[in-house]
Amino acid sequence: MNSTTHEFPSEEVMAFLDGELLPERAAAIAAHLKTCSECSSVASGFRVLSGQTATWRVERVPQSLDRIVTLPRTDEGRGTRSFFRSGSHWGFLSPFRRIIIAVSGVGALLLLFAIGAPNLLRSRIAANESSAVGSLRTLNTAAVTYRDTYGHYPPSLRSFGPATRGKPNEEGADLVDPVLASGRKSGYLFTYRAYPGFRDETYTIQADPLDLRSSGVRHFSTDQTGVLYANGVELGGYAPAEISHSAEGDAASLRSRGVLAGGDSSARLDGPMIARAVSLSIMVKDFDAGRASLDAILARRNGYAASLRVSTPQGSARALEASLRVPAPQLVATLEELKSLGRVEGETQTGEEVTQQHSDLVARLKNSQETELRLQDVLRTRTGKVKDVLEVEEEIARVRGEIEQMEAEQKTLEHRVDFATIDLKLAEEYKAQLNTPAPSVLMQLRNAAVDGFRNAFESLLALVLFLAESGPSLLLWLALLGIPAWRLWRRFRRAQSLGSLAGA
Amino acid sequence: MQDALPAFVLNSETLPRKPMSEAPANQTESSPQAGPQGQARGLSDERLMLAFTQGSSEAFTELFQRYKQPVYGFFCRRVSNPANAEELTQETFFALLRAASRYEPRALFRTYLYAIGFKILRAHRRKTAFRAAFLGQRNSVPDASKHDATESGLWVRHAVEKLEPVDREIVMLREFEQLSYVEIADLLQLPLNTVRSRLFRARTALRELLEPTQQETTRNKP
Repeated sequence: MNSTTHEFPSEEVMAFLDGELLPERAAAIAAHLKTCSECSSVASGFRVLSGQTATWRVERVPQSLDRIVTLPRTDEGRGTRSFFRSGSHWGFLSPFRRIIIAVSGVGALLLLFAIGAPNLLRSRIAANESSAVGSLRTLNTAAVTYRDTYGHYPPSLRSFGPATRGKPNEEGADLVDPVLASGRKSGYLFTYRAYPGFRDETYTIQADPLDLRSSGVRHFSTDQTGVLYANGVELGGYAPAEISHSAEGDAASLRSRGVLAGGDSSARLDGPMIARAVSLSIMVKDFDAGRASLDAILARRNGYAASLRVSTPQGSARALEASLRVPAPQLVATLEELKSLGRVEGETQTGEEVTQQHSDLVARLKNSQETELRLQDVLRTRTGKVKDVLEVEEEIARVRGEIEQMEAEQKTLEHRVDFATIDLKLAEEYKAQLNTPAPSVLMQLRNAAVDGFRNAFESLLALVLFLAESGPSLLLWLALLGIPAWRLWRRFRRAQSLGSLAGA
Repeated sequence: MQDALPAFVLNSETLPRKPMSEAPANQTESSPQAGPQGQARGLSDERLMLAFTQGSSEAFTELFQRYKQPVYGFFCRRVSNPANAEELTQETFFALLRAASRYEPRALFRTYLYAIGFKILRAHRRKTAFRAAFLGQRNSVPDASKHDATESGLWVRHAVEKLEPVDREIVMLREFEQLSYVEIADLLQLPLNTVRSRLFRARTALRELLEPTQQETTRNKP
């Protein structure tokens, strides 16, 4: 039978027998079946089939199944009544699955945090260090401005900040923001020191991380020369012209007071120029006294600590590592005083002669300056095409750049000669104590609680920062990848659903 | 239990549940689904389920009495072991208990119940496949004698098993669970026309598979 010879296809006859047709259509087929023997045969075939399938019977349901309705409702499904009252949307999950999902969720969160937190910490440390360097530069510029205004460098860090009342004055020049003037900014502690006797002439600024683990890992320092140091190593040639000039003046001033050797550049040319560096390792009996003496020596010898790190591990000796800068003439006396602090365990002295290097630099500088003068003379006196004029100007600019670079190199070189470097390691002579006073239980509990709260807060903060930093990106990727993945998942589930019908 | 149903509630009483071997069902004829539970006896499945969600254990008992045999039959025809079928039937009703608070009468209760049954069946098959693959536990050999009392029934079972999986499921849902085309489409997430055409194809194939049996039976008759 086919639809070309019959009004109703077999499939529709089947639907009629299943009661799936609209009443009008069903009535039409019923009428047709009375007249068409072929269609009646098809219908009877379906009926026979249905009768055959009905012979596949299953046994009666076991009586034991009835216990479902005889069980108290609280035994299963957490009880229907209590379950309804809870209104939980997770009720369809068994407690075990709920625990699995919760643990997986927490695990995923922790994993995400473990991956993200170190990067976050590193980026925060880098940001803090960058901020510290920027702050030191700001302070250098502000110090020069202060000196130009009041004739001397600021006596304290607070003097950089805003005045407590009225207009800016010596006590508050309003050159930096109040946060920086307070000495703590972006995880760094700033220590400004104007030396006694040379208050108007020199200063040093140190920037030390408040927490070596989380706020920063490098110590920065600078002085009136404008050169920045990170852990005692020069950071790069940032030395604004005004600062360089003033630094030159400072050095001259120091020399005039007999602190620095030599008088000027020409004087340096008379004798060898030696950049001296000493490495000293000292074992002291009393660490605190040694530390205090170190500070006193530095103050007395007009030196400063470019970097300083103290470690005080529990149950072992304390140690100090510092990179000190002292005026070269004061080096011998400083070393003697340092050696008197305790037993010298190691000493290395190096002296790099930079006379030739300095002479070359001075000669090249002089040549360049003369070239610049000649070029300026050419520009001033000669006439020519515009192109030629432009070429001369370009040449002047190039020579000017070289001159400035050489001047900076010269000053750095002179600074290395003027100030000797002492790498000092001060270790405590550790005596194991028989009756080391252990912290009380209460104190240990208190410390643990404080650490715990701090860790929790830091973790939370790190998590919030991570979410703030990466959240929008995650949402974006979730939208870009999650929606197609979800659609694919639905399609897969559907296919799986159909596939699973294949049976076990 | 006597609360009025919302307007959109489907009512299973209005749907036919008769096999094809009987006369085509009248669309408006109500089917007798009476149970033994007093007040609940004359109510539709959906009304009973709503009453159950409001705390009527009597309603649940009535639903259980109505569907315990169909659900048990559903599993018996799909798993190898009657004990498993009993266990899965029990799980289905427990799932119904647990999910009762979230029940919304947007579809027939029967469809809802069989959807739960399908999910549980799928989970069972996954576990069985996993055990077979990783733990070396084989599926128990079905004991046909427990399922089928007649030789004809056994032939039907074998013939049905030879059908394509989706076709087999459609034909079984129609023939044994007496679900309408719409309900089957909902359950299997297939278009309605696909269900109809696949059912036709499955029945045609099934008839061909059963024809030799029929002829043999006819020959054996005196």
